Amino acid sequence: MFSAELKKGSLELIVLTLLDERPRHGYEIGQLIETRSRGQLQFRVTSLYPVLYRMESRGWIASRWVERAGEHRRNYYSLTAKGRRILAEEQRRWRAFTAAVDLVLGG
Amino acid sequence: MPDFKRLVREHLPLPPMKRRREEKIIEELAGQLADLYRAARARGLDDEQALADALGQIPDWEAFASDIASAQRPNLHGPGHGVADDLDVALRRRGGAWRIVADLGQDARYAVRTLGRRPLFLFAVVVTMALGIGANAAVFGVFQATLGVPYRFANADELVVFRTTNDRGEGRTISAPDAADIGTQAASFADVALYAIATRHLTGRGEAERVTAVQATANLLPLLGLDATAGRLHRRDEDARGADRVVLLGERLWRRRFDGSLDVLGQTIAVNGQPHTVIGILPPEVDFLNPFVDRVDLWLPLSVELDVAARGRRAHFAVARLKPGVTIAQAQTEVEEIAARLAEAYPDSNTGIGVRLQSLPESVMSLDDRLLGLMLLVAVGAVLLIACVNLANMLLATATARVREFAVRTALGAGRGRIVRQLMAESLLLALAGGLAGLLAAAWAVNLFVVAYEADFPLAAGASPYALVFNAPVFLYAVALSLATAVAFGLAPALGVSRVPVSTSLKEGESAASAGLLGGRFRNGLVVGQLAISLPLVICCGLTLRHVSTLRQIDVGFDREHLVAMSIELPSQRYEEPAERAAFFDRAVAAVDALPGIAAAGASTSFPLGNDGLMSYIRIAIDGVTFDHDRGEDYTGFQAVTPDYFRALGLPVIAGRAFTEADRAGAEPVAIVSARLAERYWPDRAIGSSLVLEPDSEKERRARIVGVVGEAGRSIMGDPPPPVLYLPHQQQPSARMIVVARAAGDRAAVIPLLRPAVRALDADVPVYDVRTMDDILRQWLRDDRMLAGFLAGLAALALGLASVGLFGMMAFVVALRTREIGIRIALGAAKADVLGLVMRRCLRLAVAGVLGGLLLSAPIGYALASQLYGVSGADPLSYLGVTALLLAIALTAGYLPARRALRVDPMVALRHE
Repeated sequence: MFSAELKKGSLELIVLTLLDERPRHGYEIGQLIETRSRGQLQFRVTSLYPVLYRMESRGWIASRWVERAGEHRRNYYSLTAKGRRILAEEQRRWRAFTAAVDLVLGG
Repeated sequence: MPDFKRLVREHLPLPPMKRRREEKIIEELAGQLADLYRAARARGLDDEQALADALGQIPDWEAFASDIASAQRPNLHGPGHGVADDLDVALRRRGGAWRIVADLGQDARYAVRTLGRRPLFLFAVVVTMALGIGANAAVFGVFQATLGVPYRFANADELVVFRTTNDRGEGRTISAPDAADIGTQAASFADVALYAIATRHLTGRGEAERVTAVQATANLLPLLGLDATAGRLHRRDEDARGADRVVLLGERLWRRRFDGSLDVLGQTIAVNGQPHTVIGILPPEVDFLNPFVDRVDLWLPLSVELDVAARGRRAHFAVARLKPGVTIAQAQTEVEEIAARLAEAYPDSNTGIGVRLQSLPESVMSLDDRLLGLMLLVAVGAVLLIACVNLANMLLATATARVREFAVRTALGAGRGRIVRQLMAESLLLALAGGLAGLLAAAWAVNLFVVAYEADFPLAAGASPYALVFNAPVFLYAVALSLATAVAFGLAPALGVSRVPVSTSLKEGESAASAGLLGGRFRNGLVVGQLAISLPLVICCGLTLRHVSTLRQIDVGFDREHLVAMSIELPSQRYEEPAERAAFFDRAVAAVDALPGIAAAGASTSFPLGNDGLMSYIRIAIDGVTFDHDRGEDYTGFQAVTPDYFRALGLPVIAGRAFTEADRAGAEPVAIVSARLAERYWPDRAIGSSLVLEPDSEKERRARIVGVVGEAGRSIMGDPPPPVLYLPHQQQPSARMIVVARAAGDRAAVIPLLRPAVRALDADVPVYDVRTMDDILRQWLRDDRMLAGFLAGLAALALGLASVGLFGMMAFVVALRTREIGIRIALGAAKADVLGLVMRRCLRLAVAGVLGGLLLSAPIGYALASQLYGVSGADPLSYLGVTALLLAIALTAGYLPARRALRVDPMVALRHE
C-alpha cells in the first residue's frame, strides 16, 4: 500500500494527533490507526512501540498504568506540554510539506 | 490463555536497563499480545491460530529488542545503532560469505545476551568446564614438560635407539663396534651417535660432589637437533683420547654450583681430579634423553674404542637418525641383516645377538611411566566425562525450559538449522569461557603441585610453573578439548529440542514435551552413566588413601627415629688398594662416632631401606643345596658392613655374634645372615654352618656363619623383605659406603657435623646425600606420594562433580513428576507411599549406576593396586565404602526434591507445567 518510509515518517505525527484527543493505550492506538484509515494504514507492534518509547524518552508523551475491573491493567499514554508544542509544529510542517508536494504534483 | 508475560520475557533480548522500565515494557507488550490474541479468538480462530496471529506481529524479536533499545536513547534521532550493528550492516551489504560472518556475529551477540541473563547457569557451566578442562590441561602441561620433551626433538619420528637382543631378552645398550658397523654399513641412517652414563666427582671450588655425567660422541646433540644454551658443543676431534679435556655443564649444576654465571665458560674445573675446560652449558632437554638419568650434570667427550675386546662390552647407548622417508621397519630389516653378518664374523662375542630399533621418544618412557601416564589419562578423562555429563544435563535442562521459545520461533518460520545454530553458538561461547577458566585452574593446580613436590619435580631451575600451562600447545589442547566438549554435549540437547513437534510444545506444557523426548531414557542414562564413571575414580581414591595410610604405618624393623645417613664415595685413583678403602671407612665411622650427640655409628654398602635393585649381589654355593641357575638362585643380595652397623641401626642380633674388629682381611672369612636367609637354607641351625662365596672363581672362599640378625624392614615394598647376607667390610671392601649414625638427642643438630668430620680426614672425598632416615624414606616413596596426592585430588574432584551433577539431575527428574505427585496426593495416596515410589525410582537408577561402576572398577582397581603397596585390588573397605557413599549421595539427591514436591499444594502441582 504505502511505502515503509512514508509510513514511518508519519507515525509520530499520527500518534501525537491521536493522543491529543485523550489518553490512549498502545493497543487502542494501533486499532484506531487501522479503523480511521479504513484499513489502509497498519502498524505492527514492532513499529508502534519503539516510536512510543522514543517519544516517551524525549518527554513528548507520558504514561501511567490504569486498571479496570475484569481486564489486565493498561499503560495509557498522554501528551505532555512539550508534546503539544511538538504536535503543533509537526502538524504545521506536515501541512506545509503536503501542500508543497501537491503544488508540484499539480493537484 | 498463554502466559504472554513469560513469553515476552523469554523471547525479547532486552538490553540492560532499569528494572522498572523493563517490567513496564514486558507487561505492556504482553498486554498487547493478549489483546491481539483475544481479538483473534473472537474472530473464531482456535488457540494455536490465535497465538500465531498475535505473535505474527513480532516476526523478529531481536530486531524488535534492538529498536526498543535505540528508542531508549533519546538523543539518537532515527534508528540508533551500536558499533556492532554498524558492522553487521556493513557486512551484510557486502553479501556472500560476509553474510555468514554477520550471521555468526549476530548469533554470538544473541548468545552473549541470553547467557548474560542467566548468570547462575553461566557460572555453574563455566565452573564445571573449568574443572574438567583444567584437570586435563594440567596433566597435559606436566606431561609435555617432562616425558613429552623427546617428542619435540627436531623430527623426532626419525630418531631411534638401538637395543641389543639375545635369547634371554633385551637390553638398552650395545657394544660400540657393533653400533659403528651398523652406522657405516646401513643405508637407512643419516647418522649414528653413542653415549654412556657414568658418575664423576667434582672437586676443588666448594665441596667435593658426586654427579651424573654423560660421555657422548660429538655428533649426539646435533643429531638430536640440540645446541648448547651458552658456549659451544664439543667437536669431533675432542672425542679422541688424549685431546684437551673439555666439559659442558648441566643447567641445574651450573645454576647451583656456579651461580648461573657465564664467567665459568673457559675456566678449568676438576672432574675426577683432572682439569677440564668448561666450554658450554647444556640445553635442559638432555635430562630427558634416557629414563635412567634424572638429570645430566656433566657432558664429556666419548672416545670410542673399536677393538675386538670392545665388541663384547655392551655398555653404550646408541641413538640414530633415520634418513628422511625411511621407516623404522625398513631400517630394522637392514639392521637385522648386518647383525647376522656380525654374528658370523665375530662368533665369540656376537652369536645370538640381534639389534632392535625403537623410537627414541618411546624408549624414554619406561613401562611404569606409560602405565602411570595411561592411568592418569584415564582418570582425568573420567573427570572430564563427568563434567561433560553435568554439562549436558545443564544444557538439556535449560533447553527443555526453552522448548516453547524454540517452538514459537519454529512456528514463525525459523528453520531448525537456525535454532540449532543458535544453541551451538551458546555452547561454543560457554566452551570458550570454560576453556579459559580451565587454563587458569590448571595453572593454579600445577603451581600448587610443583610447589608441594618442588624438590622432586623435574622443573628447569628458574622456570615458572605457570609456564607449564601457559604455552601454545597446552592452550590449543584446552581450546580443542573445550570445543569438542561443546559440540558433543551442546549438540544433543540442541537437536533434541529442535525436534520437538511445534504442536506438542505449544499445546501442552513443557513438562509433557520434555518428558516425552528429552526426559525419560536419555536423562536416566545420564544419571546411571554419571554414577558408573564416578565410582571407579572414587574407588581409586579409596585405594590410594588406604595406600597412603599403609605407608604411614610402615614398620621398618628398626628405630629410624634418630637415624641419619650420608654417602661417601672414594675417588678410585687415590684409593686404589682395597685395604686403603676399608681403612678409610673405619676411620670415617670412628670420626663420626666420636662426634658429640652420636650414640653409635656404622657403615654399609647399601641403604637399609634399599630395594633389591640397589643391593649388590654375590654368587654363593651351599653344601647340599642345588640352585636353579637360570632363575639366578645362586646369587644373593649382600651388604658389606662395619662391626658397629647393627648396633647403630638397632638391628637385633638374634643368634651368635655381630662382626668385630678381628674379622679382618686375612682372618677366617665370616658371614652373618638375616633371619629369612637363615630360615631358607639352614632352618635347623645356621650358626657354625658355612657357605662358599664366589665359587669357581679365583676369589672362591668358604665363610663361616657367625650370627643371625633381624630383618631390616624392607616390608615397605609390600613383598616380604629379601634375604640378606652380611659380610665384614674389611673382607669385602668397597669404594662407596653409607655411614649410618644414631643421634643420642636431636638429630637435626648432628647433621651439620657429619660432612666436616669426613672432610677433616680427606677434603677431596665426595660426601653426599647427608639426610635423616625419614627423609630417605620419603625420597623412596616420593613417586607414590605424588601419585597418591594427584589421584586423591582427582577423585575428590570427581566426587564433587558427580554429587553436584546427581543433585541437579535427580532434582530435575523429580520436578518432571511434580504433576504426577500432585495427582496421586489429590487422589488420596499417602505421602509416605508417594515418597516411597519416587525413592524406589531413584534407587533403581542408583543401583544400575553403581553396578555399572563396579564392573568398570574391577580392572581399574587391579591395575592401580599393582602400583600400590599393601593394598589389594579387591580391598573390600574401599569398595563397600565408596559404593555406600555414592548410593547415599544419589538417594539424598532424590529425597530432597521429592520431599519438596510432596509439600507442594496438590492444586498447584496439578496446574504445574
